Amino acid sequence: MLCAVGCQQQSLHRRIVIIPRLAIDARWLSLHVGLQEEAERKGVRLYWNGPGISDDVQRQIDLAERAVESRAMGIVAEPSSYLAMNSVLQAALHRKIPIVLLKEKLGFEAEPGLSYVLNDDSEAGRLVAERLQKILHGRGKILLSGLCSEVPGNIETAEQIVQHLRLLPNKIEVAETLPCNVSVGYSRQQIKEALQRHPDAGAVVSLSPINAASAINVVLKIGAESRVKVISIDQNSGILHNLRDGQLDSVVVENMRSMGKQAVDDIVAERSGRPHPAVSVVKPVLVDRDNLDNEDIQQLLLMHRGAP
Amino acid sequence: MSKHKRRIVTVSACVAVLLIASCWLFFTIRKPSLPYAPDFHRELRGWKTYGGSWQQRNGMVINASDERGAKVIAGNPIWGDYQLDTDLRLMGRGGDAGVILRVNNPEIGVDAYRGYYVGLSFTTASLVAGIADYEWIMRAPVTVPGGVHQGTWYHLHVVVAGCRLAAEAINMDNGSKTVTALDGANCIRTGQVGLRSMDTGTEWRNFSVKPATVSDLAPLLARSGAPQPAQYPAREDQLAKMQAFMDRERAQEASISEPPTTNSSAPPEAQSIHSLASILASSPIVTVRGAVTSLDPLYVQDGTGGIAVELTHPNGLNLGDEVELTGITTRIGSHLSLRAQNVRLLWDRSLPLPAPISSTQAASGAFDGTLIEVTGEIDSIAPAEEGQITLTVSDISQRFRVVLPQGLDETPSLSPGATIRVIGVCANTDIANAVPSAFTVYARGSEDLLLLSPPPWTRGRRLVYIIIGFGCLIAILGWLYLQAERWRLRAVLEERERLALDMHDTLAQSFAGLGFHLHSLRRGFEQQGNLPPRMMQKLDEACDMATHSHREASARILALHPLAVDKGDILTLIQRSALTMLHGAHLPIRLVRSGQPRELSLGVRDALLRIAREAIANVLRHSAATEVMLSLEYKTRTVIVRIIDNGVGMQHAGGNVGLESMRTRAAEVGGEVHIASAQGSGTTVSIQLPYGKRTSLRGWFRMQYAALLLMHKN
Repeated sequence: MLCAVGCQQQSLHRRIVIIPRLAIDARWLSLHVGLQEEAERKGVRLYWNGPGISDDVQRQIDLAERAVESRAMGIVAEPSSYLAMNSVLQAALHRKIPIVLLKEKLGFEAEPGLSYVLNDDSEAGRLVAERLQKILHGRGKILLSGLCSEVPGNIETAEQIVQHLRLLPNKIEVAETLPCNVSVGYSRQQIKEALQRHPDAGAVVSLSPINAASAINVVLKIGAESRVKVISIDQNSGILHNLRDGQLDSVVVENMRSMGKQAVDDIVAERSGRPHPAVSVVKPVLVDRDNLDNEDIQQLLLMHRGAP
Repeated sequence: MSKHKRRIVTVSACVAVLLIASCWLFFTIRKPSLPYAPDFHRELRGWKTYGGSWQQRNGMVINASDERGAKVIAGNPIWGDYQLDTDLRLMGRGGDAGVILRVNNPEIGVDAYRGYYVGLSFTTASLVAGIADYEWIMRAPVTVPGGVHQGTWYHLHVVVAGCRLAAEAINMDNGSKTVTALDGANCIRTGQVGLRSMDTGTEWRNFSVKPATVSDLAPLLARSGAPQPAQYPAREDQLAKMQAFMDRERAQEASISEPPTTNSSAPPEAQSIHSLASILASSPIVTVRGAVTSLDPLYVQDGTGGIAVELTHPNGLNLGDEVELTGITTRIGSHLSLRAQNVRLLWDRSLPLPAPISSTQAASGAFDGTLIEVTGEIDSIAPAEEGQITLTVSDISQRFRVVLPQGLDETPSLSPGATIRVIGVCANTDIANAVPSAFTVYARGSEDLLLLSPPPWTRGRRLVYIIIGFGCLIAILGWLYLQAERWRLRAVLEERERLALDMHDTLAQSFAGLGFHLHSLRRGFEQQGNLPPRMMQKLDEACDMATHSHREASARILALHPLAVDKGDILTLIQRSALTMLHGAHLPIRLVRSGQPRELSLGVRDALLRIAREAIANVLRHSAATEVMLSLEYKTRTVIVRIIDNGVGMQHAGGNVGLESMRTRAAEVGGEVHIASAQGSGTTVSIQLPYGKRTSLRGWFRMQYAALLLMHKN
């Protein structure tokens, strides 16, 4: 009663709480669309909130703790750090709150109440390898940039790219692998220096959209846009804009909308005792300027259900 | 339901309604009413921040952080139709900033509220208006002629009435105007107001809110055209079309200071901040890159460390801006700083996360200039000077200072003894620190302070409050107990009356009838004269027993009947009881009254009558008195009834059950019974009782104490 007049925080009781790694921007908005569609179909309510910066794991932990205390219907999370969130997720499972983790398993086996909706890293690797084969005509060097062990899925995707490059009949090799850096300035410096060391590099494969933006910046600055192509793993609004402008060759887009739908379905199934897969894998799609305006791609990238 | 139960339910319901109404009034009356024009030169009450780094300075409210969706909320949740005016200025090169209206359920988070937002977007060079409900959707943005510029003041005028919103932005430099209007399909009817920014620091001033009607929308709608629904950006292709074609990267990299004074055509390659520590007095030009972690003082941090920066001109930087600094290092003692000659903005939204460390680690100097998180207990709080509050904090190992700007009026309540966790830049070599401390933490705002635990309850005012609270609780419980006792007594008296009536109608009548028939039988046998004498004797005994039983029943009925409910004079009631007990025997009873008559409580009347009855019964049984005087004296705090006889007196005025029960009854209502008697000199029984109306807490405690003493004695 007192909260009705004085407190304004929403109650999370009996809602599915979604805790993305980042609460805004294209990739997560598509996730939100998928979640909402399935929630409406299933007649459940959602609570969506997340950090404003992508590595703010404390904010994610705070939201998860609130979900646990409020006895939420379920939690869908894409942790910035699985290890840091382990305690609160275990607390949720202990209270029989089902959890769906997105993106990567990273060593946690599925257990009762815990399931995964994952991106198909192998497919991502295959798409990148095929794209490189096409744009480099089967021969050349690339830089693999933005390798971050803390970011879920990052290492796995990089490994799949390398593996698929080996599988294809080409002579494309990874000249250098560059680690990620929280500083955009340093990222740019690293990429610039790497391109100076490998002047024959024909492409930069960036393992995150922010790293791809840094790569684009460097390539434009040194006037190498005709020589060096940039491919991004994952999308954000800026990268899609770069794609339209021709500054980015292509982007491997995770099907976040389908992942969102699957996540809600898993939570509802768990609550109602219906069998559901412990691990679901969703294939990504390679998007370039040619197919960006295709309706199926636009639907994949949908950011709000209120589209006219 | 009995009358008393109904009364209890009614009283409880009234109390509950009053409580709810009071709470509602408390929370809404505390909120401001329209028109509302807070003075940004003064402390703002009731403004609650959600993210960001907020402060007040020079009549402005400022968010100095690039945090996405930082907002501050004020006003009243019941405000419906109103118009809002404010000036705003973007401090960063990117993002957007504006105002939020009809806000409900705000939380920390990017779009974590339900309400309307109107703002200026640097990225799309447009005036945007939309709806947030833990997601974001807006109508098509309207391009601002000439773009949206960093450092330029814009006036925002927004009207929300019914389910429509219209807004105008005026460039205060060149007077150009931009208008937009939103048709709110999922209408939000009421809510608070606030300020919000995204990816940029912002300054606001001249904020006011006034009531509005639909007619206030008309001038804006005439220029904006029909209000549009919120449908953007839903698709990527829509977003692409919306964005003004502006090379964001080129704009962000534009230099914001004078050219370097050296002749070198390009700045030297950036080096790590940590490597600057090895530079001695005279340094060459150096270049570093890092994120802004504190604005006042200005600190920049990269992956290796942080450094204080001196700029010679206003910088327009926000927390989280990633910059490239070119300049020379200066060293005063062990304090190293960078005097920047050139500053280039590389990127924004690079808010570093703090390193949680111990105070000893902070004191070691290994984290000098970097963003840390540390815990400690407040020793003292220095009053705010020049807009800054200084805390002296200590933990087991170290004592250090925390300096934070006086933010908006939601700084956690701080007091010595409280345990806090603070985020800020660690400065080991703070030359401004006159008081020695291991290090200083420069927090960016009140949001960087988290109260972990208040001062222990055993300290200071808290203890006093607890004692007072406990005392009040005891008083309330005592009062409730008194009320319950009164209700119980009333219930007992009513039950007795019912029993008395039942017995009168059944038992007493039966005995009377039995006696009548036995007497008739005896007269019959007496007239006939044929009953043996022995049988006649038995019949006589039976008649006597019937008569005696009838008298006993009458006496018990009298004892049960709560004479206390009779409103008549107490002395008269006592006399009536005495006459009943006499059963026609002759004994003069004199009545004496003195003092101003006053009302007695039910419990006291009942106790007085029963004690007096017992005393009179003793007189009739044991005293052989020929005269009895009953006196009633009304004194200031007590009433005294005396039963005085001229009988044989008592050897010992105490010790028998009847006298003890009289004393017990008197003690139960806070009174006393005194007996003065000597053999051959008669007996005086004095019954002194309080009036009993509105028993005070003191009186209640006295009663309990007297009852406890009596119990112990028995």
